Amino acid sequence: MKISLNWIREWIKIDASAEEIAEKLSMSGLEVEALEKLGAGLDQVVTAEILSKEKHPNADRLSVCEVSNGQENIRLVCGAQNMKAGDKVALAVPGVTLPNGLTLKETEIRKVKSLGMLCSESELGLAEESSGIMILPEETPLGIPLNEALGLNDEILEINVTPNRGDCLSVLGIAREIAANFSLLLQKKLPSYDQQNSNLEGQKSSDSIRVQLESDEACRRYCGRIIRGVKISESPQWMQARLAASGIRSINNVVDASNYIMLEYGQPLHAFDLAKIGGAEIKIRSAKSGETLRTLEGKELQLKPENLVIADAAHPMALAGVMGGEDSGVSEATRDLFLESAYFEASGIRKTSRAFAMQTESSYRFERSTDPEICVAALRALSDLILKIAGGQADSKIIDLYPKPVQKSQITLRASRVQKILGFAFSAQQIQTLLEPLQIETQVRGEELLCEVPSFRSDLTREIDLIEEVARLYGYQNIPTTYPELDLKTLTNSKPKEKDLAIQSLRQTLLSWGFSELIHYSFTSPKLLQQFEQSYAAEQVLANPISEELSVMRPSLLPQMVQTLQKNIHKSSNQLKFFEMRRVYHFRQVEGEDRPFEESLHLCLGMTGDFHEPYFAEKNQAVSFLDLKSYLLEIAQKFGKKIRLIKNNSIPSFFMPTRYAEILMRNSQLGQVGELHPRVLKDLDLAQSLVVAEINLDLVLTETKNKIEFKKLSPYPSIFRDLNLIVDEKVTCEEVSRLIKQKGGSHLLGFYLFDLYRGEPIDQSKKALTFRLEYASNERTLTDDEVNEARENLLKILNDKLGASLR
Amino acid sequence: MKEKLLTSLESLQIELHDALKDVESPQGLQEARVLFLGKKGKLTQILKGLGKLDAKDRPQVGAKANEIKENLEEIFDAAELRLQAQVYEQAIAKDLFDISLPGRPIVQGHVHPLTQIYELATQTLEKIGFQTYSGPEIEDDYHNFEALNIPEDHPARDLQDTFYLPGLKWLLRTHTSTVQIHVMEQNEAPIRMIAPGVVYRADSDVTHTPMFHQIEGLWIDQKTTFADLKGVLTLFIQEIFDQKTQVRFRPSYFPFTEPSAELDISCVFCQGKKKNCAICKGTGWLEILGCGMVDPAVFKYVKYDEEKYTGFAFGIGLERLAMLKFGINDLRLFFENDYRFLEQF
Ligand SMILES: [Zn+2]
Repeated sequence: MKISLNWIREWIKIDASAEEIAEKLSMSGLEVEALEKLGAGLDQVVTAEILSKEKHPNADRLSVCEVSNGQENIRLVCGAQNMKAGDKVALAVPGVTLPNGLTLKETEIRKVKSLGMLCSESELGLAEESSGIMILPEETPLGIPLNEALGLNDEILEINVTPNRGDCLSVLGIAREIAANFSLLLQKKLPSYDQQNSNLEGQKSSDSIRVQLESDEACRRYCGRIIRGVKISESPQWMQARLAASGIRSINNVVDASNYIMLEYGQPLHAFDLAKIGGAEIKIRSAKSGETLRTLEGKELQLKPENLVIADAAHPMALAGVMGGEDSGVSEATRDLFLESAYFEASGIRKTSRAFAMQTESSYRFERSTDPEICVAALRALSDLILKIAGGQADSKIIDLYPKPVQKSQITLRASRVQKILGFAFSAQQIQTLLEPLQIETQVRGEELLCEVPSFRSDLTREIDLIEEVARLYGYQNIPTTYPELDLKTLTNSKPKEKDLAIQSLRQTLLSWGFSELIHYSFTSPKLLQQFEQSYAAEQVLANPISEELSVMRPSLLPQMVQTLQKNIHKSSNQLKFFEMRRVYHFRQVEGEDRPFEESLHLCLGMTGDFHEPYFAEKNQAVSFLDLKSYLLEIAQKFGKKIRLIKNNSIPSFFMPTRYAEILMRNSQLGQVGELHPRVLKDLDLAQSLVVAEINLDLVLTETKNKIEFKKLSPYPSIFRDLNLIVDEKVTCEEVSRLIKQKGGSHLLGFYLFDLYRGEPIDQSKKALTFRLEYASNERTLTDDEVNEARENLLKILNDKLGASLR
Repeated sequence: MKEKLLTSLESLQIELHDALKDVESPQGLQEARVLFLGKKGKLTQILKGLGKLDAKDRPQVGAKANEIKENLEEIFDAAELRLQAQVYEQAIAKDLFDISLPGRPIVQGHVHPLTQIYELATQTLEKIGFQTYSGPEIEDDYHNFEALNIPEDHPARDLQDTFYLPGLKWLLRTHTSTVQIHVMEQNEAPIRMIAPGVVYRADSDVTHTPMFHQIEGLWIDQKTTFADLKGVLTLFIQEIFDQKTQVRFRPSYFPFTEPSAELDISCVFCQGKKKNCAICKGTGWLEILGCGMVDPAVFKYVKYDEEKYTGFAFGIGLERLAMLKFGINDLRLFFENDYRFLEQF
């Protein structure tokens, strides 16, 4: 909320500077987000009048002017053309610094001395651009600071009022806070009205309007007053300026006046055109189904029974507390007014304003609770102001329906509780002194205080609310800083979170392999998911996304991985290794479970480019399916899990079918790995292959058996043998390996594929696989004979089962 | 006879010195070794005369012969060292190695800056005595709002633009405070928990991303006070930044804490010394986290004895922390995954 400090100063007499006030407010919970000085830097520029204007003797486009600031005459050279003798202008003399940073000096232009400058609006920072110098209104007095002449000698506080402090959405509310913080008293009194002894000046009450309060829960108080014979016109300049400073557009004098009083008192007000109130009757009631209302903004609303309306005998005229209707509003033709000042219940107003997505200055205040006791005072202030600026005559009587007055909160506050919460002892008397400036009335009874809260502080209903006020007024900075007592025994409850540790450790491993971490949004685009054949339920599409691009809670990390690889190849590097370790989301309705969503931790890996960084002319190879497979196997092993990569019949079409595998762990699906199909690469405008994998990490990280079983080191040497096989192309490496492992003999310690060869002199349908076998025993040194025999046996089995022959 | 033998032995040393003067190669040295110490070498030749000596003279000459033999071997060893040194020197002289050539590149991955901050903050808080928990991101209204004392139609809901799933029963959590409720529902006091995680708000502009990260903290015990909250959070901030960082607590409002506070830290860029500092806008202070004493209403929802227990809670935005810590100027960079950004961390 933006509010004028000059306006606040009408309510309290305070010497403190705007900065001091802003600091104090911020430190007491009303954060001042900005302090705007209107007309900053204009105080040194003064108003002046041009006495004469002559052509410069040595320059065609320049003129020499004689100007007066009311005390002395000054001769200066001016380049502008838009002024004439008699004009009022803005004058800056040598030594003055303008808002644009320019400091004036005495100069000589083509042999004529210039002792000042006539300023343009852009030089004064009043406009982005301007042609010619600024010409002021004729009636401007001479020799006064320009900011004063323009009504700009004010400071505007922009305050972030938290939702609990509806009472601070006004000049009065802020003034009360400042008064409490600086131990001051309010200067201005609220206008009073005694219902019994109506003593207002004005016409004798004419019972020309009947008000019926039907919904006295939703509307606790309804006040009104009639003013006749007003003249609708433009508001005075000073009022427009204050409204503008608070961001409110000027409409006409009556509407502006109700906004002005609302800003000052915090009480939303509404003016009806009396002539438009059908049947001379006002009803505060629930809307009926089927009723409609055309608002001041021209919107047609379909009303429902939960909406409170202000209606005449036949139709709703206004959406109570939110917005008036077009038909009953004040127009240029309006002569007589009915002014409304009411107290509407907060949650009802909020429901209605949310239902119609309409937040107005009025609804904003009612939602945050207004002061039921200020209705009449604000109404009086408004009628006084309207009489002043729009003329007319007010009824002497104020209508005030207040069947069940709102009770002030009575709260018991214990000094011991204050200490228990704040950690600092206050005596009951100290507390009393602290609460007094907030107009909280207290009686001390031993360590307890009986507190009565003023009607405008609807946020104070509980003991804890008052404890906060004690802390706020005492100053958070004055409360000591201590450390909590810690019961060490309770610390033993905290088990190390094995999963967190596993994730951290995996991240370190991936980093050491050269993978960098990505973080994508959890929502993504349906198009992207479709492109990569990721299905999702309609239930995981956001009802109110920022955009379609960010609308689906992602079921997979893979599509964004591909997208990011592609973007980076185009932007920065064609050699990339990325990982993302985040949640994916699935809609799954499980019988007996309330939560139909599953959030599981996935790991996605993506690689592209050469395996190594280029190094001189060393031979390099592009990353492939096999590289990623290695990483995956290593990850599984790290957590004591066995995974298998198998060929699958249902291969997603964006993968290269020969370079794709489904990943299984104990026969359940863990994920997938593959190289992208060349067609997809072409669509992505890529000339290099992408390898990607995604696994469900939750499955890998459950029941991790990271127990390390130590095996004794054999003191006897190993014996190595190569096995150079020729097999049919259809025989996979895995098939051969499995047999070697099973049938290699009890002394086979390990083996690995040493070479793969295709080509002459081997038959085209065959390939050569060379394995290196390692034999050893824990008991003795093996003999050549027994090793050879084991190898021969193995070879025979390989030949029988797979048709393998020795090369 | 004895004297002659002794003289011959003595002179062998001088002869060897002379002989080695011109030797410049390992081969030359080997030849000299054979010549002097070989099976048919000079020493052996001299010792052949030993047999002709009187028995009483033999021990004396024998001892001398051993001494000379040791001396000769030392001379050879010294010569060998000298030659070897020459070989190294020559090799070094020929070596044109350029140490400024690049080595074989080692590629390390980069941890996302948000993860770095997440781990730094989490570890610091765990050191203080908090335990880490996590909770679901897709939540119901109860855990995200109601149990945190934000009833339907409460204006505080305006502070958070919420993403909803179809049917509006489920939503994306707008803060990690939801985990407070889960943890209190399942555990008795005392509680010392933190919950780092991702949160969502339907807001997207230069200073807001629709997804961001928070760490929630909660400390509940029988004697936990606002003064303790000041102590613990000051400790945390000074661990994360540095010991000289100033903090100030400013009253604020959150529905689930009372009293509530904003924690500001002294500007890490200008220490409040620059009037035109772009980061703190010349105020010298930066808003860093929200905190407060757990509102008794929250205790009611989770059925804790609100008279017996008190506690404090806080929530920190990790993006903000990372921006201050690393001097990152644009929030959106965190989620663009541009390698030129990532490789700086
Ligand atoms: Zn700064």
